[in-house]
Amino acid sequence: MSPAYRASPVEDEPSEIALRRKWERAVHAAGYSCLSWPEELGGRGEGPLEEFVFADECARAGVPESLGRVGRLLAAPALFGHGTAAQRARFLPRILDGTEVWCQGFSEPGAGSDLAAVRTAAVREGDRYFATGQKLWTSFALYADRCLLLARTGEPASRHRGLSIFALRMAQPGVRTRGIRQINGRSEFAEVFLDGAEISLDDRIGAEGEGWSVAMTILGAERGAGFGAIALKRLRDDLEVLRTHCAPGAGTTREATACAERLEVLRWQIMRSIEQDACGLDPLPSASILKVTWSELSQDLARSGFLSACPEHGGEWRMRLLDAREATIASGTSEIQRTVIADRVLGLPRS
Amino acid sequence: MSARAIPTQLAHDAAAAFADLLRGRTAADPPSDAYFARDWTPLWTELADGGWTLLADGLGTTDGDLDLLDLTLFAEAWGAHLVPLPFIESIAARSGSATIPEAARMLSVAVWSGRTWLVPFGQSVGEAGPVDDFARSLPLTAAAPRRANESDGPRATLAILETAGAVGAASAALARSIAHARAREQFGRPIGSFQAVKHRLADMHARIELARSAVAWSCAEPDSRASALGQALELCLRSAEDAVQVHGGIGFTWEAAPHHYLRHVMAARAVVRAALGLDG
Repeated sequence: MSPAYRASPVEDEPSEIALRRKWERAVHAAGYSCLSWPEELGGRGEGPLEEFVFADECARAGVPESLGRVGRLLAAPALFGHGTAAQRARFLPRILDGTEVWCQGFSEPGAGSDLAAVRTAAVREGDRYFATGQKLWTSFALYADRCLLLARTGEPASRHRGLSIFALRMAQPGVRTRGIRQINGRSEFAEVFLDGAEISLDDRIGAEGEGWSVAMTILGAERGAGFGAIALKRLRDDLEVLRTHCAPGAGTTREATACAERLEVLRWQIMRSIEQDACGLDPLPSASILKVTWSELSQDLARSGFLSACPEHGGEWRMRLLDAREATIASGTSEIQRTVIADRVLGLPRS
Repeated sequence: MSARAIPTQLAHDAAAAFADLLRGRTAADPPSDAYFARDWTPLWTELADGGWTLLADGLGTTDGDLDLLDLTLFAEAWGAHLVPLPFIESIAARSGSATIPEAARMLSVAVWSGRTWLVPFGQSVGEAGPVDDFARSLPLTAAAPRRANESDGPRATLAILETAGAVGAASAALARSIAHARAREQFGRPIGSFQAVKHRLADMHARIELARSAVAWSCAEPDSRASALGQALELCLRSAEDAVQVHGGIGFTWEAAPHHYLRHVMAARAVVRAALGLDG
């Protein structure tokens, strides 16, 4: 693998983080950040397809992955879809130029696939809320400025109905983070402990009790084209190594070719999804197909690399195989994605 | 005479006793950093004193009660616990050995990876050289160059028994996944009640059974060993991967058990490929 190659970004290494911040500033300075955002907010008013094509070209060029993916791909859609103009003016410029890094506070120990079981509570007192609870698997938490927080503002048993979304300031006494060590040995996500963390009313995104609807917008984005582009980049990197360096036997070459074909089909699926979303259809089901597809392709590719027993890259492939396990669990497990497809697209009876 | 596809009753009974002993000494504790750091020498002493290290000594002779297929049962029981001791390696090294080492001696088999000699548990058998402990349950020492002075016998035995050990590891990963699926609740019920999870566990089980069949095949047909063991290991790998999946987010953490089984299967594959001389 070339010296610049990384199986996946090493998110807890300071030099890696510095590099990614630098790249993000360079993209912003050149006027390429967030192409699909309105011009008055720093974008260029381009369409989502153009934004995807730019991301795809960047990926082919092997640029560092941005630190801003939660801000740009998750918080921004929430702000566009449910936030106020004042919130957009406050948050989006700093997301766009990379000066504010966001993390996502959704999952909890008791609320993974069953997100409606969230227990972190945000209690209203006058013009602010006080949040108490625990979040889990929070990527970027260790150095984020803001957390896109899903918390319960309703009664404990209110499930979907009593939730709200907030833009929590991370740098305050009521917020503690602790890294979680992953199976690959790194700590790229964390626990976040909230103990009376203060949130001003202005930082609630959407109405109180509207949180589930905002969360669905966010999850749709998480499973959709933006993340698909990131996945494509990693898939291309892996495939390049497999095909050009690790495929000595006919068997591996066949597998590499099959993966290449699946990758190209995936790319077309992303573009079709973007165009379908533009027609105002429910984005969640098509996003589920994307997510299931790229996550499983990513694992098959990692496995092919490992099984190639390439003498030169064996060490990287085995780490890649471990890394790849995350793909079918994070951002909605494959099991949940298939249920969404079955229930929403195929109209099958709910379990 | 057709080859047997299943071990003998004698082997089953003896392996069951072996499995009981191991369960007693590991307390069915899950693999973890602390687990691997334990002092396992008392268990080794017990294995030696109980004659378990002599299991493969009669292999291939008329004296032996147990053939290769029978031995795979013991290797499987061993692999389930991921104990960092060279049990499989010692009995493989002893099999077909001209001299008979004393029962308590730890042994291993050097295998050529295509680039270096690898000695599983090299540190335990006095080998110097860098240790790759990607799998804490199967550490590999990159050892000094040597003549390949052993016959192929011990290496072939090692390949089959390491694969059986991997089947044991995958099987244990499945057992833990089932326990997790029963205990973990979301949406007000155990996740094992959802079809998606059930079907995945069913697939894991089916693959492990197929892997056992592939191991039996490898015992019966020496010429097909590479194919048979390759199949078996890939089936074990898929199952070990699935164990991570069933455990959800927890499955992706260092502290949880699943990745240790996955790492073990991956390391076993490297040893088996080298033992079969597949990587030139």
